[in-house]
Amino acid sequence: MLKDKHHNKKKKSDGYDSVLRILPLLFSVLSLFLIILPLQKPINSFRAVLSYIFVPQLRAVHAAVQYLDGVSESVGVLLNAAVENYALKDEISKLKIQNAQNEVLQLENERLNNALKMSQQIKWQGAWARIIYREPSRLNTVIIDKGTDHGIVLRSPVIGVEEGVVGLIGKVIEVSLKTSKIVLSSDEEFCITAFLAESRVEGLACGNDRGGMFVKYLSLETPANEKEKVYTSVSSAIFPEGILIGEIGSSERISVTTDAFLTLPLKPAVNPMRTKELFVLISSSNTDKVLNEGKK
Amino acid sequence: MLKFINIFFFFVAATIVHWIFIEIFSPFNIIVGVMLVFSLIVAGELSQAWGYSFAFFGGLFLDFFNNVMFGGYALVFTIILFVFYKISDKIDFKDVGSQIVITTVLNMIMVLIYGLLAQIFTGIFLWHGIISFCLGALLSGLLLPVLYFVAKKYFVLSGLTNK
Repeated sequence: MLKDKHHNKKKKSDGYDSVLRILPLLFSVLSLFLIILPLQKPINSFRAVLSYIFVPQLRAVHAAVQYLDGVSESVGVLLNAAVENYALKDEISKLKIQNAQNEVLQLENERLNNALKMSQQIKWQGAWARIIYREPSRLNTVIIDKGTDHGIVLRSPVIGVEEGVVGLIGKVIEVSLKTSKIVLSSDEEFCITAFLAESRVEGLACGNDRGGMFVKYLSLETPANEKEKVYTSVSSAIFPEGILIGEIGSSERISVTTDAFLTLPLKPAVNPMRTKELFVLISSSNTDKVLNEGKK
Repeated sequence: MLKFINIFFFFVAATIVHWIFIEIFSPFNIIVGVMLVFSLIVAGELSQAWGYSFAFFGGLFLDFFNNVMFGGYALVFTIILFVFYKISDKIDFKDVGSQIVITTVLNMIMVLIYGLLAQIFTGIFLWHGIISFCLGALLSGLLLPVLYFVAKKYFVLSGLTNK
């Protein structure tokens, strides 16, 4: 009896040992399988499942940190409220005058646009979002705290503001109910049709994986103006026209990649690494949907 | 089941600590291997099955936020744990000094293997510079004894270990 028990125990431990021998191999094969698989449906579904395990706690911690940040700030704000109130009242009256002038200018602009039969520029509508996580190894993707619930869809353009300058940040590559993943413009796989404001030529602005960008496929005759502004082009399928991407970098670094095209370094207008808040552009139909749901 | 829940909570805590360290150190281009540190703690205190599983899912957690090479960290973490278990008989992982040295070295190996994998699968060797490489590894090494101390208390309280 005792011998049998001992025998069974030994058998069990032998089985456990063999499982342990297989386990690292099993995980390695599984990981390799995941790497080699193209990022298509099965992987995306798996990621969607993982997002329910990996993201909620980060969202909660981020919210808690923000709340605690807000407490200390609001004390200071309350202390300065009266002074700020006077200043704001003054500013409001100034803005009222400016607004009245703007209305006149807008009407004039519309009238002139109609006269020139130009297509009316689409207003940028969207949602402000906060970065809740930065991918640390490549620093080229971020997770924001807004998702489909806020009208964000796949491939929504993302812009940001740095020192009063509005510029391109990236685009949405994955979206869930409450969060979205943004690939930043500095990623080597990020490319967008760009328009050089002074040279009036189109090229392809791409990330260079070192936090910067470059414009390629420019004709060799393109005048290389340093600090020339580069905007999103009207021919871009995803991005609305006229978003500032950046400016042409130092002319010393200009390089000719092939016999046929010129490549210029591009300094992004907004450094995606420094921004904490982003503005995700949403098409007007989505914005209406979100507003209606909010009213309900 | 209770064991699984306790380890799951430990995993959640690991992701939160990882987030905090990313928030603090990533602006300085320093990547502290918090998930690796937690994996080594589990490997040092619990069974190999839990160690490998924790490391694999810890790696997947890091891969989840990446847009390329999904499964890369999971593979590297599994390899690192394999190395750890191979040398665990010859080292005293309870000693603070060896904890720091082993974690620092394993963190360096992790960065190099991941960079190599990135070179193979994406054509770009991931390198944040020698300062980032050394400081990240050293901080991971210094972090482990502190977290090890706290984790051990949690393991005893939750009944995961006896001592």
